[in-house]
Amino acid sequence: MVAIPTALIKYNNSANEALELPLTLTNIWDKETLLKIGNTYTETFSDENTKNKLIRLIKNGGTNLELKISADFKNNNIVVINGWMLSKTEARQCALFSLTQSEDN
Amino acid sequence: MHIDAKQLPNNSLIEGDICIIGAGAAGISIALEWLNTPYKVILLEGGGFEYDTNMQQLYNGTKSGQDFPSFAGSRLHYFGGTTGHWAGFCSPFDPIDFKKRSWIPNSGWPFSKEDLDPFYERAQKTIQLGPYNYDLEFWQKELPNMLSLPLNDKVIKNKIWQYNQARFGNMYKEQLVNAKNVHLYTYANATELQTNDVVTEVTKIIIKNHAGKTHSVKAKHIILACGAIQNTRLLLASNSKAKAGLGNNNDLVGRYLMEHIEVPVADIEMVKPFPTNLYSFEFGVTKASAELSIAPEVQEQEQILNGTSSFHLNDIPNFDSEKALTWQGISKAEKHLKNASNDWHITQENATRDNITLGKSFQMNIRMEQAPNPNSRITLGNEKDKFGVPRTHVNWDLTYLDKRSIRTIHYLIGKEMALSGLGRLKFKPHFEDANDTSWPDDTHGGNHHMGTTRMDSDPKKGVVNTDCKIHGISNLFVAGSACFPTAGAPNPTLTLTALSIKLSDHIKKII
Repeated sequence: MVAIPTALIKYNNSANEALELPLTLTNIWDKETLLKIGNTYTETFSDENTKNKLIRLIKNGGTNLELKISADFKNNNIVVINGWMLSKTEARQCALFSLTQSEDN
Repeated sequence: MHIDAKQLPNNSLIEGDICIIGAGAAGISIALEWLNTPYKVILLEGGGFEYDTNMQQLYNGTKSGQDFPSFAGSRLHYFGGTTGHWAGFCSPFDPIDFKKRSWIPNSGWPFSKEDLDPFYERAQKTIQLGPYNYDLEFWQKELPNMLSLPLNDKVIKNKIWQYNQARFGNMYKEQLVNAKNVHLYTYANATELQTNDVVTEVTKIIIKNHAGKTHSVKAKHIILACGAIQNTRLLLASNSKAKAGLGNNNDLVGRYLMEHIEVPVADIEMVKPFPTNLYSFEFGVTKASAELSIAPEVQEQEQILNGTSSFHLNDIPNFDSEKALTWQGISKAEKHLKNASNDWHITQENATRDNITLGKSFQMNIRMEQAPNPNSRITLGNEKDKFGVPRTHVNWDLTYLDKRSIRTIHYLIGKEMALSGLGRLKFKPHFEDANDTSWPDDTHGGNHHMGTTRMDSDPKKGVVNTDCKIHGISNLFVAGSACFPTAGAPNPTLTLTALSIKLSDHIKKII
């Protein structure tokens, strides 16, 4: 796995583009992995499989995502997706990314 | 003094003050303690001074349950015993390992870590290790680049190991062969312990060899030091007077067989490289290193067993493997490690200019105590070996507590790695689901056999008492890891050597 340059990720021209990019994970994953994780998340949590729902959930309680992700880990708000231990917030980000990327395709 | 028992006239009688059966780490450690004393020490070794296939085959047996390491592959049947091929990993048990833990049935030793410390210190010398100091801070001053991962130390600890691939056979042969009061008999396989009619005293040890000779040994005190499997086998097979075997009035001999469970559990992908030598091991080179362990308070809170996780560099595809760097380093990479900047980008840029890649992907392997389990046990098989001794049957049985503990340890590591911004953990398939009770095919033991004559002052709960004497038999003792009530997190050799020295001191008081 090679870290993906953020320039290779297709952005929406939307105010929510920062939400769909789990920055820490882009240091260790390639795009395919991000998408796979996102797809698995939306399949597993089928009540969270729309962009609007995910955006609401990610933004809920504040938009400082780094703090939210840290709080998730501290409070055991952790999900295991395809073996990966992730913060709920960053898993939702992956889900949002996968929905956004598939829309554009 | 050395005597080849194949050369003795048949039916020779050998007599001494103490008889140590087995010349591995435990047996040799005890023999050394008796050098230059006024007592005649008989040291029996079943093999010779070199590897011998005929001898190794005596160890063969059968197994059921969880796949158990090879009988003949995991132990060596010649002078020096399994130290002939061990990797030399040494670390003392933790204080929690000696305590009764309410969430682990049958846990607890009859003494504390502090009680064993003086013997640990002496064992360090026997194994020719460094000072008896396993503090991280000490080794960070002693060795270069021993940077600790910045994890929450209320949750994750660094447990230190020291290393010496001490080959007891090479190290101590001359000393023991030249010792006037130690009589080392090679090719002296103990096949039976005979007792008085009421089975309160061992009166004779029968020994045999492939030359067809049978001899007997008499001593005031007898110490079984053949390793947990062989000690158990001999006790169970010595059943001419006690049908269930010696020391087995309460059906405990052979039960509570414990191994260290060793299996790859997860991978860690680092956000950026962390240059350190603290977690690296290179055979024959590394003096000390660390593995990650869980703080005792958290073990209690999570109700888990004690174990440690080690880092192993993953092969990185598309990288030239000659340039891929282990944390141990090669000379060019070491230069970068030594000059590591607080700004990782600078460190990595500098390394990249030299065509070096710092490792970012690691496999995490557990080494963890097995929960004491009476169903994990050694019994006698139906087949007999060349000397007529029933072969061993092992049923290695693991429990949900074992599985849950391994997963929880790595969950905690993964959580702290994420909180520290260091990286993310990915569970291997069998550990993804917290409710999965299955074991991966690559689950194995560390070749650390423990617990089969466990220690307890109550004969209904233990085979040996706190002095490692078999309950009910006045002159029979067991040395080594068979006496462990719990397996601890680290490899057993340092602890079994310490316990053997403690036993030796006890016998010196009563002889």
